Amino acid sequence: MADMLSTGVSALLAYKRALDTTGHNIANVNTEGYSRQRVEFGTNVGQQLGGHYIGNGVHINSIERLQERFVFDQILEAGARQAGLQRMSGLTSQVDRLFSDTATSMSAPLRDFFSAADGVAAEPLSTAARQVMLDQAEDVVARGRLLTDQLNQLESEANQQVSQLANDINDVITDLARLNRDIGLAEASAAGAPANDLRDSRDLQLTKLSEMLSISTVTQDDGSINVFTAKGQPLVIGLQASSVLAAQSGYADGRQELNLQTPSGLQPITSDGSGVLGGINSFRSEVLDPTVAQLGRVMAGLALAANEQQAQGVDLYGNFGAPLFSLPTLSGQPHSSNTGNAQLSGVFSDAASLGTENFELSFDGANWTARGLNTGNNLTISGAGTPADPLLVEGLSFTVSGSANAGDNFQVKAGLNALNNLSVALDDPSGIAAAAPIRSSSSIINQGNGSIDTGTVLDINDPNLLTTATIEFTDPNNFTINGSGPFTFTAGDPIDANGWRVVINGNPATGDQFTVSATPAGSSDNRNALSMANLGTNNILAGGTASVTGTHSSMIARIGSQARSADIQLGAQTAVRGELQNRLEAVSGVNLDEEAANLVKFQQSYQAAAQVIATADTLFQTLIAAVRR
Amino acid sequence: MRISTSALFRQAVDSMNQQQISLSRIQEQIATGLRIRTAGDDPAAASRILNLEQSLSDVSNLGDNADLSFQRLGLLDNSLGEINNNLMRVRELIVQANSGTLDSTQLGHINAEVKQRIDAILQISNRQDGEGYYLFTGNDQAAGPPFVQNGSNVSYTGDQGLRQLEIAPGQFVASNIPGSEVFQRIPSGAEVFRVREAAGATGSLQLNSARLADAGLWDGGPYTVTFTDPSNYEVRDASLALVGTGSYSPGDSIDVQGVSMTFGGTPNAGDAMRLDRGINQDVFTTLANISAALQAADDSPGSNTRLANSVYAALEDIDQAFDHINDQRAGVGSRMNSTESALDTHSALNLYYQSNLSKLKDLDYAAASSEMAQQLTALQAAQAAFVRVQGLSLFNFLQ
Repeated sequence: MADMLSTGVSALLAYKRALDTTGHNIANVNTEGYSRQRVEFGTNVGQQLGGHYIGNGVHINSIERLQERFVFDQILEAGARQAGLQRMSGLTSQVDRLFSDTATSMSAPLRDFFSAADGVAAEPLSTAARQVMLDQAEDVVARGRLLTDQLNQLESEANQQVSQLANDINDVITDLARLNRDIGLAEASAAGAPANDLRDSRDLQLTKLSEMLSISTVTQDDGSINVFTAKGQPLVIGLQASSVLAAQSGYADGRQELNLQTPSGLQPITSDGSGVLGGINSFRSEVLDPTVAQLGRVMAGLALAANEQQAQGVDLYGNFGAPLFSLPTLSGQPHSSNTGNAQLSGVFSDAASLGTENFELSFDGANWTARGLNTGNNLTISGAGTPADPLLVEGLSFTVSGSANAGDNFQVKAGLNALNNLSVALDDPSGIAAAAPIRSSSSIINQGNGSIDTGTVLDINDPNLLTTATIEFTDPNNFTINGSGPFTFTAGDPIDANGWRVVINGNPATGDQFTVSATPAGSSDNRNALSMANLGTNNILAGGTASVTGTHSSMIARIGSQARSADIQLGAQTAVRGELQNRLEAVSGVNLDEEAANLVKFQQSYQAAAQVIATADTLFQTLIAAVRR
Repeated sequence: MRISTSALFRQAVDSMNQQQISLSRIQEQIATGLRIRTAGDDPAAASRILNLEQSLSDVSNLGDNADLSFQRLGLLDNSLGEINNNLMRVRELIVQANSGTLDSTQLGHINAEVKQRIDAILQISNRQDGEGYYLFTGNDQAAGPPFVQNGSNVSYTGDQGLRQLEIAPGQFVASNIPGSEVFQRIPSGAEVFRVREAAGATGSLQLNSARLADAGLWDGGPYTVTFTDPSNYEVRDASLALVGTGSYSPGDSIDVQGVSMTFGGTPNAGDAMRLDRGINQDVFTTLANISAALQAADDSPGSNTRLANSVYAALEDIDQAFDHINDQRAGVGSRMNSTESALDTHSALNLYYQSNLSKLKDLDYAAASSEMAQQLTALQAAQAAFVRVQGLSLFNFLQ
């Protein structure tokens, strides 16, 4: 009888536990990271009685947490990738919107500037047309500054995110180390029974961490989990959490990088596109830096070309044109580990060679080398760094002051510098050099039918360029220039002298004269303005293969396709992650209908067990009553 | 396969969320009328849109240039026409003056009108367009009016610069002609040669015609045919060396170095004719010469002959000027044709680019509306399904 009672009691207790667990499942149906639990029943070993084993009731083997470790590990990875793409896509779409919106993009100001130059060509003496051109130049610069401000804001947003990330990572890895300890203690004290809810918490923290940066985990025999970065830097080892720190890289350029604090100093943490950190890093290296560098190249290239064109012409005062834009001077940012005291200062020098990435200049004790910071490619560099023989790299020219030691590095962000500091130098509309510096004429009393073209300037620096030169034909086949010569004449062949070139066609007669002279002040000549108007579509960038407007549109298209591709990848990754989540929840998730059924099932079992006890009691009472007589 | 309750909720909410995102996108497209919001929506189209917008802007600039050139050339054409009208009138007047029946007073009246015409031409030559540019000064606008009268001399202060504008890709058209080319670079006489009475003639020898009979013999001169007496002449070259002699009687022709001249009347001893090359002579010199000849007419014997010989020269020179300016005018006309056809091309291109741009950029409202209706239906269906599914719970039956 006692056996039946104890069997009933064991069932009563077991189903009470089962009902408790079902209640726990129902209570946590909405808890993030919760894995449903199940009571595993075991039959008590029977009692041998009279050659038979009599059943002895039920006991609880364990309370299991239903989990699919393999799927969970995949979720860590997929979640990391999704978080990275989400951050990348979010930041990139901001840049995309910035460059696509006509109110903020550079397209309209560039177009208007070249239209205004065309307007000056149409009305070379009009102060209004000239003023419009200066205003449009200001617009181009202002729009560049607006874009730079926005891009700088994204840069500082990214920096703040990295700092925040460092705090969050430290919190999470501290939690993980603590959970490792708690789980160890809890399970030891319960003779190895799994600490289900603590393990859920730890998995949740791991999920969170994987969304911050790419991690790998190793489960130890004692149940603790060691966490490493993708490159194997330890974040959590057993009960010990490392510490991460957001700090500037070796160049004091304000950019926050994530570092692991180690006894031997800071160690940079990278996260190849995964996790928020990877997303930010991808955005910096694939979108932000190239965009700044390319936009800077467009602006600096335009400014260099416009200044050069100005110098090729004469303004309304008859003077050679002064620079339209003022380009900033550059400096190389020295690395904090530099041991020499060298300083690099430079200027923009050649539009055609301007590069599309930031780069690092390194000194090996004898020579300078340059390396692109995005691509890692070595860049062509020449010169010694002296004022007479400056370092020429990527269309920039640097002079070195002080002395550099072997191993010294300098960082150059030319694009950013151009965008931040470009300005319009010219404020006098009459200063626009619309006219070419020389003009030509043929004497009215020429007998032959020779005609002279307008002439082109070959060397703007020739001291005699503006000296009036008379080409006189001593006979139909020979001519003198200001008395020197004679030179043989061939119709249509260029005649070069004093830094200019003219072409005489037809058949001049003996004594015919042609004159090349300086363009006077107030001339309505528009040849230089015509050249200026064509600067936008001339291939002045990338070694003469790309135009300012073309480079700008392809830049916008590139940003657009990056935004789109990040978006598409994010969609795909979200689907993958969702699918994995479903697979995980198919095992771990709580289904209320199932729990309701379990509730009924265990309740009935409980009632039945109670009935067993009641029956045992009845049997007992029957026995007592029988004995009482 | 199990499904967890939260997954059921999450999936339903996710799908509704997705549909709402699509819906808000369509709503934004319909509100803005644009198919593409950022380059990211369609990078390939965005790059084409930028290129098309650049092309549109180029076409619009070229169109403005062509318009402006057309206006300027129109003004130029008008002015050249006016100059020729004035030249025609002067020609009529001097033909009238040469009738041999007018006395010096009447010739004075004619001269007065000739002078008016000269003034008119001078004014046209210094004309400015609506923007203040001198039409005929080349590019040296700062030098002021290009033609400056000093006594009967008119000098040119401009240069020979052209002002070109791009009216079609790579096609440049000059919208001006330097005054030197209009008024100055005009050959005189018969261009290759000309015959002019030497100053100081007193007889009645009148040049009737001159032609180049043998171009091979003519070397450009100059030669002087001097009558030693009314019936004999000698020909000397520039260095006064005797080249030939001959005898003359009225109506005879005299041949010198391939130039054949016929004369009427009788020379006095010492009267001479000069032969030389018809070097360029500006139109003002031509007109001043004839005005001076009209002024000099004084009813004295020989006065009519002097006038006749001057008129002979003036008619040659005025015809040269007239032809020359007509040539210039024809050049302006062909430039106007080019600009006009460029303008036609531009409006065609403009339309073409605009329609392409619209195809890339603008929303197809019909398609968008039907897509929106579809999305709305899908969202409503998802919502209805969610409500039905969530209404089902075993707990509902455990009471």
